[in-house]
Amino acid sequence: MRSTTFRLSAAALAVTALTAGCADRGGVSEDASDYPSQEVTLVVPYDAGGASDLAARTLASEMEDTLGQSIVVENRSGGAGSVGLENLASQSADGYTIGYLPVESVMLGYQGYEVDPVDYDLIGQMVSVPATIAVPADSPYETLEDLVEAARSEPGSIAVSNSGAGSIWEAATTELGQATDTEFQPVPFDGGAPAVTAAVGGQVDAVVAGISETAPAHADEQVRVLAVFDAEPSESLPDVQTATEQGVDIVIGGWGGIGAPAGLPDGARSTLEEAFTEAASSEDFQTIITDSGNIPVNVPSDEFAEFVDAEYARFGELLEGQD
Amino acid sequence: MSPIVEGFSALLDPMILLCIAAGALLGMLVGAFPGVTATMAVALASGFTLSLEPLPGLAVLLTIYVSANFGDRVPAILINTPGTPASIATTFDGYAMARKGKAGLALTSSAFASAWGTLVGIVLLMVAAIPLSRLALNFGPAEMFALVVFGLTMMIGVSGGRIVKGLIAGGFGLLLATVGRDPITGTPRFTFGASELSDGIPFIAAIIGLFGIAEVMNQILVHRKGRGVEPIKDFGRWFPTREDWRTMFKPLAIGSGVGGVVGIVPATGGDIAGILGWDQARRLSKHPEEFGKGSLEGLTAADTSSNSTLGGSVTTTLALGLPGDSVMAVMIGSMVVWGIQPGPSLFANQPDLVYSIAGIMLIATVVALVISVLRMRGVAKLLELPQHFLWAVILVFCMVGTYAVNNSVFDVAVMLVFGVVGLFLKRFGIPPGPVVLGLILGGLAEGNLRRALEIGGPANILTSPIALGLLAVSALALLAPPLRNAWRARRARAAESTTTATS
Amino acid sequence: MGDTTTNPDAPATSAARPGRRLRDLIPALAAAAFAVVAFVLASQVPEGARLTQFSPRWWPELLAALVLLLSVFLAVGALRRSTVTVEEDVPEEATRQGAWRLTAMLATIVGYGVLWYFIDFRVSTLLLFIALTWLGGGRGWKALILFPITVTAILYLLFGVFLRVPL
Repeated sequence: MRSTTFRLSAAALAVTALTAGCADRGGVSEDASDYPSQEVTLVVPYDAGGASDLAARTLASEMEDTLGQSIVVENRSGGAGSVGLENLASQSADGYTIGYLPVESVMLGYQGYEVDPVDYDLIGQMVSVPATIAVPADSPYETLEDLVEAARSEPGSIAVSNSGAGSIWEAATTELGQATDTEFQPVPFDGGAPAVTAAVGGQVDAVVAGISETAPAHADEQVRVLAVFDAEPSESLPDVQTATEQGVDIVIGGWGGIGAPAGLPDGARSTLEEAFTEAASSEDFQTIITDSGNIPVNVPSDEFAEFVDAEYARFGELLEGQD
Repeated sequence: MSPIVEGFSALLDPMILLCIAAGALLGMLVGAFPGVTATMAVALASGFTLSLEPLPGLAVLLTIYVSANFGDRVPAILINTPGTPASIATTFDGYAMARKGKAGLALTSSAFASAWGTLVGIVLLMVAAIPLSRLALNFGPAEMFALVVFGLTMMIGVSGGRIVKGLIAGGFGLLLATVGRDPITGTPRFTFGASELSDGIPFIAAIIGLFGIAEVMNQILVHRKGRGVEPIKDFGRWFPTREDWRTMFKPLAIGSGVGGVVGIVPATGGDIAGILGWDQARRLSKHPEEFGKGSLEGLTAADTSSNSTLGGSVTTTLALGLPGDSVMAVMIGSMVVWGIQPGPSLFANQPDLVYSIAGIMLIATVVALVISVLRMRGVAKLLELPQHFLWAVILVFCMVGTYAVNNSVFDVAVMLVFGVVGLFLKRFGIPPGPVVLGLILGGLAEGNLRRALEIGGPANILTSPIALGLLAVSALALLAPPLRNAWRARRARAAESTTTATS
Repeated sequence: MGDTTTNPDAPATSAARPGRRLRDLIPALAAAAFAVVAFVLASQVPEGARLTQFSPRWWPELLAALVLLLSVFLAVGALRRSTVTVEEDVPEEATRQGAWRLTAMLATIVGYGVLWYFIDFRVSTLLLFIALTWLGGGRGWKALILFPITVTAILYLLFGVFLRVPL
């Protein structure tokens, strides 16, 4: 008994000493040419296991190959993503902390959080999740037109579920109302799946959710997707027209990209951009994103920056106009 | 018959059995660690398992899921700290039993009750998946609200007889649940500008503080040299006697019924089911006064009920494609990547897979039960450590475990604050059970009530037969005990007056 | 009423009775204070801008009013001694040494929280274990050196290495 305790402690001691020696994270004086010389941290503002976390982790493991350093994913959830995003903005801009930027990074600033897109240098966009609107399978509304007509005849009477107060899907519902000169009644749930369930069970008249959440239910004939709010029809919903094709000109949805605290040194920036482009175009990454029902994209940093600016302005109008 | 054979025989691969063994060890370990929940363990493990084939990957994840619900009973019984929220109700009677020198019996019978509960859930999954999950679809906001109101009536049950104090504690818990963004408008409430609070009070941190830390603090406070609340050294006998089995029979039945139903309702899991099963068993017991004071019935009902939800949750997940609880929400992500699309078509296209999943859970249950019964003694030995070691270990492990949930120091601070709150409650005889119940159910109650009102106003609730039925049962549950007491008192008085009249 | 309705289960010592009354009055006061603060804070929550029949305020306000009502009930009951229906499991008495020890341990933990930001997890946790064990009454090299090193190593292996939590 005694000797086992001793041996165990000795082993534990040895391991501690070894690991302590390896993981010395002291201030390495950084020269642009030898970036990256230590492991990189990727902040994900959501819990482990969700779709965003999965996308970020997959991309991270692909980027490791190009960078030649390991990327440690750090989940900092809470505050609709603001906790992780604020944490990212407060890190030093040395290229050793990067983060996953979701669409919420351009919305939270209008919702009372300390999140501003100018705090981030953008590396690239890798995933897009178009919004869709769906009705219960036995709903009388066959087209988007039918649904809008019903809302017009009595504004606010059409209850539309979404994944939560302040979510992109709620904003999409509001925008749909504005674009069609009527008003829908958004009903926030605790997450995308319960929102879709409410439509499957007929508790609400419709649901606005990401394509990855409605497409499987559409295939099982539990709901009927009326429109995809994207520029082009989606591969996973080949029989569904876009909203634009049906005369309602809205393109809206979730997206995700990679960013870093603003003020990245040029060397680190170009290395990261290169690694990002490589990773986002890899087959493994594309397969995993496609399999999870979303659309993999590979938008370079300058285009992504323009896009984020446009989105920031757009949500400014949409969300502030609400108050 | 052939999908059953095919599904089960697919598990004969040694690789899969290896995965189950690894998952069982990992699951027991994380379960026994306060703070690390099954959800978190499955989420972290899914990072590794994505590179595996679907079946071995599922074997690891499902086994973690099952065995974490065995491991979490150990700290609940021995140190009054639920290893995961699913074992909150285990603390009610488990810890009391351990304090009475029956820790051995508590640990073993808890393991048997958990195994029984899991088995019932698995049978449910194999036999009744599709029709049962259709039923769950009828639960919209109005019905959910009524179900939560019914859950809240349990506050009286978990008050341990101190009803007014219990109700105050429940109200306190419900108020704590309103911290954070308003569920409908997104307006911040009581957040004091802290973004950490905008998702509400971190739930796991609060539970660990209220139960575990408060208990340790109280022990430190009343400790006297050479005497006082020693850690449990006397484990008593380990295996239930025939007499014990007979006592456990009824709560086993009640627990599996309650847990099966709760498991099928989307988004509700073992934490709620455990408390609900415990309370139902108390209502139906011949010895309700022993509940909360070390009742074997209470322990059995709580553990059976919380583990019966596992099969129900998997059922809802596979048959509807909706997460049955938070662990399944994480697991759906992995399944989708493996090309398994949960939903009604899964039962048509890949029926053998459904049976493979049931088979994995079956083996996992047996493995977890064997580990529990064999290794319990070893785990329990830890508690024979002197007091100063035990205090330090519990305090620090709870802190690090809580930190690991969100990588947040804020959560650790919340846990310590709730430890102090829990100490106050303990010193003044206020039960912590209703606080936790209020905290769990508060968000669900308000969110679903207001959602129901947004959709169709009060009529939405008043026209639902399920909701009305549940609300009527709740009213009855609240009113019956006082009415019965009043009636008894009157009869006693009447009897007394007749005796005085005749004498 | 008052003194005539003595609970038969109550300890017979005279010192126990005011103690028991305080054990109801103090939580009643605390709950009332909490409820009032909660109500005031709830009434300052901004109204939602959206079209909705119910503002974010009404639910917390309702709960606060309910808690206030219950605490009045508890206080009245404590003064009249009429609602005490069950024997409460009176907690063991605190000791002076215990109170000192608890305060010292909590202070140590707060200190540890500060230390965490500045030095490595392994070092600060080791120090914390040594301090807590010493405060708990552990003496000798096994308690103050071997034990802290072992548990710190276990913690680090489980969380830092195995679960990859950034400590």
